[in-house]
Amino acid sequence: MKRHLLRLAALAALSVAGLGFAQIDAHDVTVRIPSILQVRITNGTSTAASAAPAIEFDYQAAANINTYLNTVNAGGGDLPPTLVTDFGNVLVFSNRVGTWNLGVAALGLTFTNNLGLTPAPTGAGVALADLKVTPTGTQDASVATRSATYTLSTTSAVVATGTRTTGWASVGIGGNDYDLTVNGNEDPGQYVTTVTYTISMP
Amino acid sequence: MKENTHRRLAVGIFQAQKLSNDLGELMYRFLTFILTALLLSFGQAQLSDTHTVRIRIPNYVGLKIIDSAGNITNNAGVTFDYAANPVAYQAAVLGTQVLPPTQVSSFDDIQVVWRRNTNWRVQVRATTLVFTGTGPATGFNLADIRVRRGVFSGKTPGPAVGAPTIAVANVLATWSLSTAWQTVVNENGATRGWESLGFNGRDYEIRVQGDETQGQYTTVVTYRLVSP
Repeated sequence: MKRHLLRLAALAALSVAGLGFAQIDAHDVTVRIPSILQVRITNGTSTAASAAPAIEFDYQAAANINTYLNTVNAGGGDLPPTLVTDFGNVLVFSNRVGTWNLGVAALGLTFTNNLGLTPAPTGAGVALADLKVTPTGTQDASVATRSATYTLSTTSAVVATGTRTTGWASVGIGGNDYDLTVNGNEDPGQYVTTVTYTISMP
Repeated sequence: MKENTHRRLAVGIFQAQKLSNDLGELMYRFLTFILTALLLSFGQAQLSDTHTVRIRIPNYVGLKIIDSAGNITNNAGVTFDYAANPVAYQAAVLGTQVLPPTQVSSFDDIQVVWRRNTNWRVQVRATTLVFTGTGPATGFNLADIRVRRGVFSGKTPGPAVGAPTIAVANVLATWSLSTAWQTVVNENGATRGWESLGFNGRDYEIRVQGDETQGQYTTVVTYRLVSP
């Protein structure tokens, strides 16, 4: 009996020793989520950034002259773009905690006497503030606020705010939401500006 | 004692190596973090996007006579038909010697549009009177037809909305017709779209003295917009 007990004790000791020699291993899992804060202008149907979005108010074109004249003759008013290229929407993407701001600013208008008039007009009568935007597009739920109407300026102004998005989120601002306010005092010629939308977090 | 010293030295070296390794690890992790941050930063760097806006304002000048509906007409006319109203004619001859039109057709306003900040003028002339009747046409001349701006129509120069840019002082108050071009408006600067010159067919009148040969006198009056 005593011998059996000794054998059992030896077996138990070997078992424990065996367990001590079992191969235990581990590995780490590292997850790194990028911080994303982006804005882009798209054609309105895809999320790809447009290469050269543009808005044109070409009221020199023969087909559009009467629209301009009739508008100013009625005391002034707002004219829609005559051509919008690859500017269907403004999208934002943020996975950061906090509120993002979408600001807009424009360069000063550059005037060109493209009609070759003599004496050359100076480009009076058209100002950045004559470009008015009234967003009409679908607004994503992550977009908390959006200006109902804003005009352009060289000073950046916040036109929309929001929180974390789920991928690309629509702000609902498109090229066709732009209007040109005229009252008939505009010098004939061409005026060009570049408008920049910037996303930031305070 | 010596052995003990060696042991302490060994421990010290080991600790220094460990510290060095820890610092290296920290440095490695720090640099990795910076590089990762930079890479992530570059990966999501589109914080702004731009688009262009191009505006083209037309250069356009024009002059038009319009009817009461605002439409350009090709049949504007002013008629002084006193053959059917000899009493009024006689009364005028004996009184003011002035008669208003008996009918004005499609001549509710005359307007111009000028898009530049330069000088422009409106001039008028008429063709020689064509007489239809009996005997020599005497007693009535082109100069007997005159316009008194706004007197009967109540019109004033300038747009209906906003401050007028055609100054009243730059439009003649009265002019008589002639075969030579004469300036009736002399203005500087762009109009605000189509602007009224401040008169229409009802502001025409004829002067009569009673020595006019009976019959019909016809002329065609032309207004033109010019830039010197």
